[in-house]
Amino acid sequence: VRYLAELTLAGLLPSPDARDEVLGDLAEEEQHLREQRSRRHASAWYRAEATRTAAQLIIRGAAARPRDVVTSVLAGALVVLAVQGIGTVLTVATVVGWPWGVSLSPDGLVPLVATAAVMGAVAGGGASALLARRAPLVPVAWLAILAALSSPLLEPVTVMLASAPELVGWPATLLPSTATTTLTLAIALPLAILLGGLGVQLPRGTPPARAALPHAQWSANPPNRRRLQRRGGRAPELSADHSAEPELRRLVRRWVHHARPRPRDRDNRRLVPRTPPTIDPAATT
Amino acid sequence: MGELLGGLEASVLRAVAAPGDGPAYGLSVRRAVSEDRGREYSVGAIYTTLARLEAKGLVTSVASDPVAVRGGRSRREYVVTALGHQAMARARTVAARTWGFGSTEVTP
Repeated sequence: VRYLAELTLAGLLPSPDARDEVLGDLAEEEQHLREQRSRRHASAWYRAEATRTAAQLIIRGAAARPRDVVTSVLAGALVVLAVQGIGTVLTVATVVGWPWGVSLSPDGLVPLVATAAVMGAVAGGGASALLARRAPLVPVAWLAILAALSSPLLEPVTVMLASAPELVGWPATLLPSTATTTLTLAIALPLAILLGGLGVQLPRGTPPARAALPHAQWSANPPNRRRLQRRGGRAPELSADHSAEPELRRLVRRWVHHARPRPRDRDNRRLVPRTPPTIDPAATT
Repeated sequence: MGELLGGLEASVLRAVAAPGDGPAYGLSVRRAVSEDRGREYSVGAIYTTLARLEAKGLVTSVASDPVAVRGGRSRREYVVTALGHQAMARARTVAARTWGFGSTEVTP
């Protein structure tokens, strides 16, 4: 839950510096409360504060970058409608008849039509997050809010399907009631859109994927530093004791260093003393 | 004449100008503003206000070294710029005119 909260907040914040600032403030205050009050109180405070902060970032993020957010929301909505539209066309074509004489079993269409809305939402959320380079989850969240508000608009479709089961060929008992469908869509669509937005960010290694990693640690990795500098971003200075280097990577580097074969003399004594490797901070900048 | 400061903006600017122990950063500003205005402000509200003040050129910030208690994340430490001090002085003058007392009675 905590990682998901951090991931969500990171996706709502526009830069690595902002992520360090907000997530660091939350972590520091939680630690303070843990020492002063109790662990449970601190965790409850963290969850409530992360929710409040996320809500404010969604609202103010749209106000700060209206064009970016509106463009991404519109593009995401178009993708949602396109995928849902394909499902609808397939249904209608099955009812009316295919122009090429191809017959498609209505039973085979059931899962397709039933999941078209959710598949469209995932694709739309992903497209929206891809377009919004800064704070990708701000337009995704707005898209989810719009989906929740507009899901009752899909009511006529469910009414049509429920009123003409003999036309579609599905048994009437298999069709859910209109209220059930609307409620399901109101919950499923926003969730699917948010998951689509988060899912697109994860494999790319873009900022939300390293939400749990402080900016100084991420940028201490030389390839990440070069990537950041190419984009014109700010890479923090490496500290002299390399404390910014992730602990796991430091352990792996030491292990690789020690596992490497060393030159030995005729008496099988090492010629080069084993010393831990060092990194020149100037060379990596 | 520059634009007037909002209520929260003025409180945040004042907290940055007069930090308690150590430099002003998000959490210290949040504690000062919450105490000053008598209600609990969220981390997000203070962050967005500080970002707005920085965009207006009223405060400037630098990132500190990573801090262990913050999970290895750095702090963003804020300082009021000359423009920020001018804005504070203007806000004091406006408040003094509005409420009809001498500007010296309004402490920053």
